[in-house]
Amino acid sequence: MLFNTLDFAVFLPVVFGIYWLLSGRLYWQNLCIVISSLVFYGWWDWRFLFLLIFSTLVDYLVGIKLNSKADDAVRKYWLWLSIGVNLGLLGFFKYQHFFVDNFVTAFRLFGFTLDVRALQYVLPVGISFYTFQTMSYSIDVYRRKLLPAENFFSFLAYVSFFPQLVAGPIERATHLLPQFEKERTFSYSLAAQGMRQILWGLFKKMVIADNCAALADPIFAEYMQLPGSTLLLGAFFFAIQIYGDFSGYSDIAIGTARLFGFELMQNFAFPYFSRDVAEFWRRWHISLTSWFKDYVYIPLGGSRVNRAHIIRNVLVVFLLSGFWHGPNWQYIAWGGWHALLFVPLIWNGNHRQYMAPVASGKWMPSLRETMQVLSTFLLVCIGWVFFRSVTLSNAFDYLRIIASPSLLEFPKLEKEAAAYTQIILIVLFFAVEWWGREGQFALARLQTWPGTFRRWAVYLLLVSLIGLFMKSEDVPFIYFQF
Amino acid sequence: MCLSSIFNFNMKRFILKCAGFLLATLLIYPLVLVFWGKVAPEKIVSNLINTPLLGFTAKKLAEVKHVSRPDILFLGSSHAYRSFDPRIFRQSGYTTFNLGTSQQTATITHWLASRYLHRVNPGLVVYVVDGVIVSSSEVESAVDVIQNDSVGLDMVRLIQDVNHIKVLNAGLYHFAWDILPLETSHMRQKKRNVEKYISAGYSIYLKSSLKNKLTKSINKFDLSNKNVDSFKKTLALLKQHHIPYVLITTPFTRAYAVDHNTALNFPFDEYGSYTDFNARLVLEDSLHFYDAHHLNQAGVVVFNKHFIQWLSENGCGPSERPFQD
Repeated sequence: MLFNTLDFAVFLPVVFGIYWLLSGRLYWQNLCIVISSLVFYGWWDWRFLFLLIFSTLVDYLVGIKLNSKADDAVRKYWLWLSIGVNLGLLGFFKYQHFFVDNFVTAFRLFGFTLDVRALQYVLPVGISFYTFQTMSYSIDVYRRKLLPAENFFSFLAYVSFFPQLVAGPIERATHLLPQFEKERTFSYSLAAQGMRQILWGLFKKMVIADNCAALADPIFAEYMQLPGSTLLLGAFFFAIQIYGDFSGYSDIAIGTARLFGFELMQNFAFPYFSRDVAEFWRRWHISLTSWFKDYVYIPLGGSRVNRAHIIRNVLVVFLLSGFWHGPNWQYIAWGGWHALLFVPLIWNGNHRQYMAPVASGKWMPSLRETMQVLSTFLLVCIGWVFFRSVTLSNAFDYLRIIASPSLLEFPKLEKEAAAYTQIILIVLFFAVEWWGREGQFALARLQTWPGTFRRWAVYLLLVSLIGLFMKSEDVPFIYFQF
Repeated sequence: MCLSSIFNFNMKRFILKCAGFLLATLLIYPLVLVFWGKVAPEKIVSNLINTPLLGFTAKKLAEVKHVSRPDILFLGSSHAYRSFDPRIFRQSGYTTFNLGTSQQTATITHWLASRYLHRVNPGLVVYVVDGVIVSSSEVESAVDVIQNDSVGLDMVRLIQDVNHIKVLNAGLYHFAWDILPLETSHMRQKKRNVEKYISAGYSIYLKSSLKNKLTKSINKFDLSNKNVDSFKKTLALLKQHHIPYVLITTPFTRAYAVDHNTALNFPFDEYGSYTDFNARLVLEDSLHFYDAHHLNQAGVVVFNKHFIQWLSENGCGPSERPFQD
């Protein structure tokens, strides 16, 4: 089920009503979440529900075993079982195609022909998200940072929680699981903030992302026939599309969770206002970045090793992060590009110089900050060309054309009027994001506005903009494919 | 546990506010559309369409309300409303009305037929069928009809049927315009010198310049299940009203006709008496068409004479009136 559909608009209030009717009965409320999550997931393909339940059951049992054993070697065995099952599922459904194809290609380079074909499977939606979530649970229980879940249903509710099941945020058990184990009471301010965040997420997805997709897609499809200036604009539209799409999804997920009395972690913190790439990665897909930091970077030694090892650790994390997105070389190159940008910062010890939001407490940034933000955005856009291109050689061709003299030509656009309209909307969007950049999401500040009238005027404006400019076709969220 | 303890003050407040906001949106959004329709520059692309399509739909739908018992009612897309000149038919003793609208798909035909058939009660329906009616998206055509017809409850059915934001906006915009004390048409006034309206639903295309290409390639018509269903429902409706019908395809340029028939895989002949006039009548592309699939006035004259002859040969002449009660 997609968030931006009528199905979900009916599903959400029904589940909300039943859930709060069960107020005060924790077990039944969790069961309500489990059932509604399974319906939500099964709406897409019910067969993969078994996979989700299997993965949950394995980690639930591993958690109990990890807690009951004192011997470290035995505990390690159980931990590797959990990691093996989760990575095995991921590898089988998501990566076997990549490995088989590259294996065959590598053999061909040496003159051998292998008649091996990858198995064709549909990628189960959300598998990259929920396997990472359950793995983090087993690792945290192994590290004794967390006691195992006592009740299978609360654990299943934690893994399958429908707002964040298919595209995150990738929640840590230490943060979310305890929320399933204690009684929830309805909070007006939390629910109202949730509704605000859902509305902003829908605007980002339906107006900003989907319309940018309609402009970026033909440019990436026909890039060989277009001048560099148009391709640069295409990269710009894609950068806005992926941000609007993914952060919009996160906003709807976090907002929906709030309606049920849960607090999910912030997943995006205005990443396009970053002054360098290190800051960008503290603000982009925070739940994945922090996952890799906690479970890969730090176990490898983090920044407390010699410089050569730090560089190795950074490279590993970024390449893995790219590979997590999908089994192709473009994502790996995208990760590699960001590693290249990150290494000089960590080498010079400058990777933590921008922790607070840009121009904090001020209306406008300084000229220096503006230049830093724009140059970081440009570098990030170059990375998006790798991410969006169909093949790695397409990405290099695309960048080569951008760097050619045709960059100085006037951009050629198939849908000129739509592009100008969209640019106006993007300016409006970033103005609101800038205004709200010190909050958890752009409209969070509205909570402090006195009087209902002004707040409602803003909501009505957003609803009207959605009605006037949304794409009517259901456009799936980009991160569903990961 | 009783409901009042579950739905405490905070919950009640939240539900009331949500309901209040929903109500406010339902009231204010149509006004926003009216405002937007008035002030928005034409170059801004939005989901509100208030620029009329070709075909004089408003005039046609105003006129159809006063039409009763014509001999022939034409249904279909621009291939219908640009191919039958009522003046030629009148000379041969027929009264006609043309309910064709731009890009009319079977879904829109069915809606128009449901709305007007019992009132018009024609002697014969000539349903112009081709790839457009079973394959195209009905959005533009639905907007055209909704914007130009009088508001009614059955419009809700059409809006629900098409399920597209542009159609919903068109309905709300038209509705709000009707209840507000606003004079003049709610459609953007656009002076067009390309066509001329002839009473009884016919539209003559005036510009027959070289800019209008006589070739247009089609690869494939993707059949829409919704349109195919609507097509069947329309025929069922005609049978229910005991109105005889014929299915026809109007002439196209030679290359287009070949492409069209190759691209379309739909057995019209299984649903009634079907005649493809491309197989019966040979016309000259350069003399009789203004583009690849529309006749010019010279072509209409030739085709209409041929069509009237065909009607008489098939027992549908004005004196015979086999289709009359």
